[in-house]
Formats: sequence, C-alpha cells, structure tokens
Amino acid sequence: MSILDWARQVRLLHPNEWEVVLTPANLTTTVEALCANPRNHFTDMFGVEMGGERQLRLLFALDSEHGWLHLVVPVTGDSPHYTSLVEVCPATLWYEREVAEECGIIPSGHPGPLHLRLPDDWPEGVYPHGGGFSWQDKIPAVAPHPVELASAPDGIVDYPLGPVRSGVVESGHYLLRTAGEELVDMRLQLFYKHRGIEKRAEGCSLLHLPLIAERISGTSAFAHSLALCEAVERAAGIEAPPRARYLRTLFAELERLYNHHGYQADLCQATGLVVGQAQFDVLKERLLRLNARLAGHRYLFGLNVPGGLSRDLTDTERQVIDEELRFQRRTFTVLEELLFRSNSHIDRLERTGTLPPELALAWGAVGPVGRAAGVDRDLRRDHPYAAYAELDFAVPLETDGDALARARLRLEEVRQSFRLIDQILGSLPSSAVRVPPEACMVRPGVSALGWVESPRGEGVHWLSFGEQRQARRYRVRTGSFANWQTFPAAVPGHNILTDFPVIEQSFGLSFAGADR
Amino acid sequence: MVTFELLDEPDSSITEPSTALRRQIQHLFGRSLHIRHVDAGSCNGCESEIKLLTSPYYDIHRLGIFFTTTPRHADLLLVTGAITRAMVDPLQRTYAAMPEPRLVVATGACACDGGIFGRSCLTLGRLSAILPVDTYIPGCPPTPLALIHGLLLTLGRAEQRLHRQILAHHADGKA
Amino acid sequence: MELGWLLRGWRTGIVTTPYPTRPDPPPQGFRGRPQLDGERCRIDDGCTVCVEVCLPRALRLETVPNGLDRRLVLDLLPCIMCGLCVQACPTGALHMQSDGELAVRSPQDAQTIVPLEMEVSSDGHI
Repeated sequence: MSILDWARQVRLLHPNEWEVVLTPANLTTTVEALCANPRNHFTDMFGVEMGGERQLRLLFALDSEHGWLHLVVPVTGDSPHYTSLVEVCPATLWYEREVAEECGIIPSGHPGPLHLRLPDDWPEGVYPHGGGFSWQDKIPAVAPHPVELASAPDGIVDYPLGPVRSGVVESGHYLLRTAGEELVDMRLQLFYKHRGIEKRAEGCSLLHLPLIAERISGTSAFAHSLALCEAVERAAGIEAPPRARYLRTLFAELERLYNHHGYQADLCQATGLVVGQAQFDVLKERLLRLNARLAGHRYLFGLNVPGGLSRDLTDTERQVIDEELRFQRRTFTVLEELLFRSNSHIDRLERTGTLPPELALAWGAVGPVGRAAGVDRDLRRDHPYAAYAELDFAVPLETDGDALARARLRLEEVRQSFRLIDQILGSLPSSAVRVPPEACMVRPGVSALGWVESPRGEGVHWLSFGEQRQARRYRVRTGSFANWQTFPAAVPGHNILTDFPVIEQSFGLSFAGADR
Repeated sequence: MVTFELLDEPDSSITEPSTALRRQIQHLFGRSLHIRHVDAGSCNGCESEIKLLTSPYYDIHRLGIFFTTTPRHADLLLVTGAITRAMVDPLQRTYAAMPEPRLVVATGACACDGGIFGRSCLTLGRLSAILPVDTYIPGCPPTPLALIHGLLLTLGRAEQRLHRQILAHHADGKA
Repeated sequence: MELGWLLRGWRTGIVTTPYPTRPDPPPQGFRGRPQLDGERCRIDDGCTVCVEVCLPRALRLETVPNGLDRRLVLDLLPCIMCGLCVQACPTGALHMQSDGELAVRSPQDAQTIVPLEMEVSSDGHI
C-alpha cells in the first residue's frame, strides 16, 4: 500500500510534491511506516521559523511515485521537543543535531551531543534559523565549548588530523584512533568552513539567489544553481523553455565530466600514480577551458537564471563541444585501460574502505558513493529533471562498496555522460533559452523543492518565499553532507599511512558542500 | 587568544613591510618559494584552481614555486575563503608556525574582501583583518594564470597592471 | 604497463602555458573583470542601477573623507565577476574585460572611482 493512500490529509503542493501535516506524537510511527518501504528514502530534515511559528520539516523521496513527501510538524513552546528518530531512521543523526542547534527544536533521547555545525564559540540559545536576527548581525563569542570525546583506552592513540592538513585541500578535522598503524575508529569534525549560506540567502532576490547557490560548492556550481532555479520555477509555476532544459542537461554533464576526471586525478595522487594524475588533470583542464569558452566562466558560474539560461549556445560552440568530446572519449578510453593495467594503483583500491551495502542504505548514502555500495538510486532517472526524461542513459551500479567500486562506477558514469552529451548535441530543440524575468512571479508564502544529481550525489534545495519575491528560508542538503555521515564506517581496520588517503579520495566528498 | 568579536576593529599591530624589507624578501624567495595553502572557508573553487597549478598545463614548478605540507617549511601563506569563525584560530596558528620572513597572499574575492559573504555572523569577511596581507588576487575563483601573476608579483617578478583610477566624469549636459 | 603511460605522455606532448614569458589570453567572452567608463556613467543623474544589483557591494556609493562629496567606487577585491552590473547598466558605461592579471599589493589599487558632482549647496560647496 502506498503511503499516499495511507495518510489521509495529503496536500499536493506542486506536481510530484506532497505535504502532510503531523503532530509530534504521530511523527515516529509515520517515519517508521515510510522507512518500511525500501523505495522510500529519508532525504532531509530541517527547521523553519515563520512569523513566530516553528515547524519541523522532514522530506522523503518516494521513488516508486517519482515524487517527494514533506512531513510538516508544527511545534510550540520555548523549547519544543519531539522523540528522536535515530532508532527508526539512523540517517537522521546529524540532521537532528542541526535542527536542535539551529532552530531550537530538541530531539528527546538523541544518543549524541547536539552541537554540530556552529562554531565552538557560538553562544547557546542563539538559533540562526529560529528567527530574530539577520545574517549581518554580530553574534558575540563565548568561551569555546567543543564536543569532548572520551579519552582513548590504553594502547590506543588519538591522532588528530586537521583542520589544516597536508596538501592543497579543504579544511576539516579527523580524529583518527589508532592501534599502531591500524585505524580502529575515527571521529569527524567538519563544519570549520560553515559560512552560513542558507542564512545569507534570506531576503535575497531572484537575481542574487543563483549567485549564492553557485558558491555552496564551487565545483558543483552548475548543479546547485540548477536545483535552485528549478525550485524557483516550480514555485512560480513555470517551466524553462525546451532548449534551456536541454542545455542545462548538457552543462550539468560537462560539470560531471570535469569533476569525475578530477576525482580520478586525486585518486591517482593518493596511490602515487603521478602520470595518471597528470593525464586526468589534462582532461579536466581542457574541459574547464571549454567551459570558459561556452559560459565565460571556468566553473559555469552565472549561467543558470530562474527561467532558463543567461546565454545560448551557437552552432560554432556546438561543434567545439563535439570536437572536444571526440578527443575526450578517445583519450579517456586509453587512460581507463592504463589504469586497470596499473597494478600498483588497482591493488591499493581493492577491498579498501569498504562501505557495507546494508549500512550505505540505512545511513542514506547517495550519489556515486551509494551506487558503488548497491544503492540503486539516481535522481536523473528516478525523479527526472531538466531534460533527462527524454534522454537515454544507464545508471551504473556496483555492489562491492570498496574504493575500487567507487572508482569504477565513476569511470562508467563518464561514459554515460559522453552518451548524454552526444544525444543532446544531436537533438537540441530550437527555442528561446529563457522566459522573461517578469514571468517568474512567486507569491509570498509559496515554497518549492528543486533537486539535482550533482557529481557528488543528490542535492536537494527547498526554498520558501516572503514578500517582494525574496527568499524567506533556503535549505540545502548536499550529497556530500549525506555521505560524510557514512564515511567513518569505511575506515576501521585499515592502515593510517597507506590506506587513509586512498579512502578519503575514493569518497570524493566536498567539505564546502557539507559545511555550507 | 584573539576571539572573533575582538576582530571588528582593525588590528594596529598589523603593518605593511617597508619597501627595503620587501626587496630583501623578494631577493630571498625570488627563485625558490614554498607555499602553504590554508582554506579558511572557500567554496572549493579556489582550491580546484590552485591544485591545477601543479598540473601539466601550468606546471608552477618550472617557476621555482612549490607547495609544502607544513607551515614550518613555508615562505608564503596562500589563504582562500571568507575566514569563517572556526578557522580564525587555526589560521593564526598556521601563520605563527611559519618562519620569518613570511609572505601572505589573499586569494579570491572571499579572502580579499568578503566576496558575497562580507562581515557576517559567521564570517570575518577579509584576511587583512587578522594577518598582514602582501598581495591580493581578486577573482571568483582566480584562474591559474591570475594566481601565477599574483605569486610572481609577490616575488617582484611581475608588473602590477591595476592601479587606483580616478575617472574624469562628464555626465550629459554638465561637462 | 609503464610503457603505456610513457607513450601516453609522449602523445600528449607539451601542453604547458607559455605564461609568463608570453601572454596566454583567455577565450573571448571570458568574464575577467568589469571596467567602468566615467564618460558614459550617469551617476550624476541619480542612476544607481549598478549599485543596486551588486551583491558583494563591489560597486558602492561612498562618502569622500571630507564628509561632503560622494563618489562611485568599483572595487575589484570583493567583485565576483558575475557581470550583473554590465547587464544592468543602461548607458553601457560598464563592460566586461577578459584580462586576468588582477593581483594588487594594496587594496586601493583595485579601485576605480568616479567622483560625483554634487548639486551646489546653500553654503557654496560643490
């Protein structure tokens, strides 16, 4: 029986987007019932404050209905409580901490500390999304109150790594617990880079929102601005013109290509295969230069606007893409073969950093990390957006869950991207690429969801509007955030010196995307 | 310890190096420079470009510039990002661990002057509020070529192209 | 196996940029930086469209230290090169340039300033 028949007061917000209002008392049973169906997936959980009223919102992806279900739980009082959902749905662990810290809605019975994303010197009781202050307000610092860990038992050594780590990498902190060279456990301390993007977006106009979305994760800029623009378009009840939908798909796949090349380069660096790194960097750089030529920006910033794209593709540019793609395809085939013949590389990936499939599913692993561990989901296929419904592509799947599976999966995804781009170039509809900005009329109080399969996993954006077409609340769940939760599970039993860098690179996660 | 809220007022202890000192530093580092990069809240765009500096297309080693893993071996601190609250302390500690003389370069719109974030409840908005900055490389993100130019400028091996410009202004009918 | 990589590297050839010995210009249409043309700017007529669309406040109206005059400042340091100001400018006083050598030693060097002619006030100040 579908959940949509089971729940009584289901309201259709937009096509494929439903909403049910619940009380805190019947939240647990509802989530339990939803999780019982393996085709329903917990996606996001956040708090909203509007006009003095607070809401706890959960989002589930209903894959068999190709739709999304919002569970809305209005809460009242100074410190509203609900029963922690971690037992019925483990993936909510970090989300509940975030809601508690940033909205003041407390999960009773939550197993861990509630402090997660805000800096250690942030005063308690100041809720960024609990209303009452703007992003520019100065919040005084208090004595730092970091999350304290139990000290290591005898014979076990805590090895802190970060936030400033070796190489040109993003900032994040790992606390590695080791017995000799063997890793026995680890704790993650991310969120050093928390810039408050969602808070920053409050009060921003439609003109500026894409600029903010692009900077959630610079290397997935197009994916995130696409999700945002789709959310705006759904809220306004309009659709981008056909040509814009195809071009968005094209650019999204170009972005996936350069990211996946960069991923292989990083993985080669971790295993010491310097020639492989150089070769994949060449492919990546060529695509970035192509981007610069097509969009005026190497990372495709400034291309997505609500209602379409800011610029069209000329026939010459189409040929340029075609030629570059032919080069990419040819070179990529050679490089892939060389990779698999490089035992020094493959041996270090095999059975390294295994994420068990049952854990991946329970903890909500998404994107390439999930698909490499048997989670057969891809928003491009299961919840088609842009022009994916009209194009033919396969979703590769691996079941081993190790670093090799993740690397192989991305190699296959590159080939599928080549296929997609070929199809798009061959069947590009002719129409305008943008509806006039005046058509993007969003009424105050309207909200909508946008989603995208970014190179690092699914990104889900929820946007609610206030007066004058300004954002009132912006919520972003990136693929990296979902996948970081699963990362520590892949670490125990491996060597800190030789395996850890490989595991880290094989997940290919972004700190910026997770920290926001 | 410097806390986040104390950083609103410009730190008077931060001074620019004198021209003579700067020339001496440039002489020291002119042909061999080691960089420590610190991400203080970027979107990963700057990191992606900085990483490409060592790729075959840019091969920054040919210019005698190298990336080092530890600040203790570093001559130059390359900072990206809008200086988030949580990164203020690690950034200052990294700087303190560097031997003198040391150079600091602000990379990208966020580190130069806040970019889209500016001074907010969670970001400091600009690197110059906590460290003496030698060179600013604007851009969002700066391209690898812009980064090379910025690094060479810091070493006195390139010309600065931009200068403060005060434009004569003649609006219609008022000229 | 090693031979395969070697061959691949040899086929790739030399791809390294000639920069800084010779220039390596970005492709046409690359958004390097906005440039302001004081002759065409209509700030005197009260046009502040560019200031309104600029998210990072790279374009802003400032009061000159004497406390009386104001000026339009284009500051490249916080500029994110989004090009919204160029699209918004009604007189074409702003346009995008593709050059990339933007590094400066001092924040002031990244500024372009258009002094704003004030109405003659009662005490004779311009």
